[in-house]
Amino acid sequence: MFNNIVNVIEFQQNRNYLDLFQIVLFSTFHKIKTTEYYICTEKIRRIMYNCKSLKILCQLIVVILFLSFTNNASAAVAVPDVVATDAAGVAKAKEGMALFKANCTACHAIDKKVVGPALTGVWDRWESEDKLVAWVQNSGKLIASGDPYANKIFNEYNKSVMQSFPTLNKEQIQNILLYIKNPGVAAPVAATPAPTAGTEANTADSSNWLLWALFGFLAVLAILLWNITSKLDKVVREKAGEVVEDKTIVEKVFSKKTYKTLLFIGSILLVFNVFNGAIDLGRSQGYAPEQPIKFSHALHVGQNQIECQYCHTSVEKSKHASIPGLQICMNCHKYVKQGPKYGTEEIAKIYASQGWDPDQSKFVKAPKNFEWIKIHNLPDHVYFNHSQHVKVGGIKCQTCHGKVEEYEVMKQFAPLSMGWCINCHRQTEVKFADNKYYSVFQKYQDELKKGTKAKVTVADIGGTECQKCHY
Amino acid sequence: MLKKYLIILLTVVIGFSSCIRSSQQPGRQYMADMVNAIPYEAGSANPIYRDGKTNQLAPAGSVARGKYLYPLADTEYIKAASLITNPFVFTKDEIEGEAKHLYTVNCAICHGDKGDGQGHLVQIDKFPPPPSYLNEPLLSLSDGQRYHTLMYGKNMMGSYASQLNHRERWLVLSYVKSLQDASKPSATTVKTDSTKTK
Repeated sequence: MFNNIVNVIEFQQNRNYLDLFQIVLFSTFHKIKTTEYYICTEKIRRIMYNCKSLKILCQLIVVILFLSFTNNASAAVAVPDVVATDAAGVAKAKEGMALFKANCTACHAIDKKVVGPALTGVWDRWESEDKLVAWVQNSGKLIASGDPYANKIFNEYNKSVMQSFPTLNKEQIQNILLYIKNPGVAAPVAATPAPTAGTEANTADSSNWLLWALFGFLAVLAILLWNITSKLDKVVREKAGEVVEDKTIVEKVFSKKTYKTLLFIGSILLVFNVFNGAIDLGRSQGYAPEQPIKFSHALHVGQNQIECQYCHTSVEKSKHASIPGLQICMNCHKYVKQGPKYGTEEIAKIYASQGWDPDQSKFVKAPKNFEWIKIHNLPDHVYFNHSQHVKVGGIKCQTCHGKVEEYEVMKQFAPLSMGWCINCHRQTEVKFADNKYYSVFQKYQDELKKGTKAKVTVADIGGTECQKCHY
Repeated sequence: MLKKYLIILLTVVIGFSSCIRSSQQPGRQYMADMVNAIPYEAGSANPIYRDGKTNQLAPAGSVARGKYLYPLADTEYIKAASLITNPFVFTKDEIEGEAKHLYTVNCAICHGDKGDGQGHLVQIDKFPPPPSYLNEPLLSLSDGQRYHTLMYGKNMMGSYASQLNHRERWLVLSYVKSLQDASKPSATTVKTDSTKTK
């Protein structure tokens, strides 16, 4: 390349820089060696002639494009930009925001296609403001009048009619447009609540870190102290007249004492772990497998405060709490296409399974089965009923499943052991007074009235009978 | 001497290694004869059925006991206004207890506790606000069209046919009515009349 330039400069002294540039480009592009260069000057001239015509063509295209754009802009609806200092403009945009949220958001978003098209740039798409206003006030009328753009958009959206808003006047529609063009001004920095789960995780991390630092500090201190005491011990013993051998550090580390200590710690751990491991057989407390979709309860339940029963629909009606089908995800994720942590990656898995095309905003394929990894496996010889506990007993989900609203990955919180069940049955008070079903327990009702019995537990009404759960 | 060190080494290695348990594994089982179910469990995969699921829909042409068959198709929204009416009469207790609970679980997250379209998801800007129940056009929307919306969804709202059954849908709609009536101070006297269509 450098050689080329030098040669060209030598050879083409009389040419201007633009030509020079073209020659360099040409020579590198066609891989002409410097030696061949002198031979093909004639060829270069010809090519350069072609280049000039190309240049003129490019200029023409630019001019045409520019003209067409300005032409388009002059015909479209003019929506001014609003700066934050412009009080009147901000007020108008705010009014527009209120109107937008009350009337439009059921079908439209500013920057993405949902039920209807994205509204940003709508001012460029319509040829005049009157037509846009007419469309909003009564779209059916405008379609019937044969307006080409109205019919185009009507057909593009599967002939679904946009609701008419006869109450919105021209000025209000202008305000809405003003808001759509300047969404930042009307709602200055929408204070998104800090991800609580994230910050909590951070604090947990930092406290862990502090703990480790403290541990390290104490360890160093212990070693120093051990060093000092051993030295003092040596001095004392030497003063007493004993002959003390100096041991090397290797001898100290591999001494009998070290082995004995290790054996002691090891055997304690061994006994402890064998004991615990035997108890843990067949239980899976703490089991938290990575699911095929990284669904976060911390986000959905903690931050978004969606009720458990929204997705686990049958928890109050059936034995099973039920794992929701992905069609329930689609209730919100038709709109929410991006998550805060994994972006579009995890939500795309829902779309793939449900056959949803987010670009067209419609189902294009038949839904496929989706299998989650089951976490809570109660042994088959135990009967458990969710509705009895949640609906009748009024037990909170968190009692058995832990603080699910903080779980990034779902895990088994309780051991689900028999001792754990029985313990709760012995302690939990039955809501006797509120439930007519328990009026048949005459003896307990009388005792409660007399005050001889403070509370009726689940165990009192047969909650510890074997055949209640094993049959 | 060597044997002694071997014992020490084994104790230490086994002792420490058993501390480690991966949360990705469900753990070990011992004599699991009565633990794992022989029949296919609800919600599990099933190689016998063609669609691979244990949970099956009723066979074509059969109707489960108590199952309500909705007569209209997705596109017949207009028809719903005259054809679909509330067959239930709910007591005040039902509306304020059960219906309110269903509304809170399924609807309030977007539509807001008062029905004004300012639910939690709307307030934290995760989801666009739905129209308020307390204003037109939803204020005077017919019962049938409300029910149709619950069955098939409308605009940004998804279908709630799988989450609520026939009775629960009317319960929720009755609660929405009670919210609308509560926002109109003059119309408190006709509170339950509108829900008692039959």
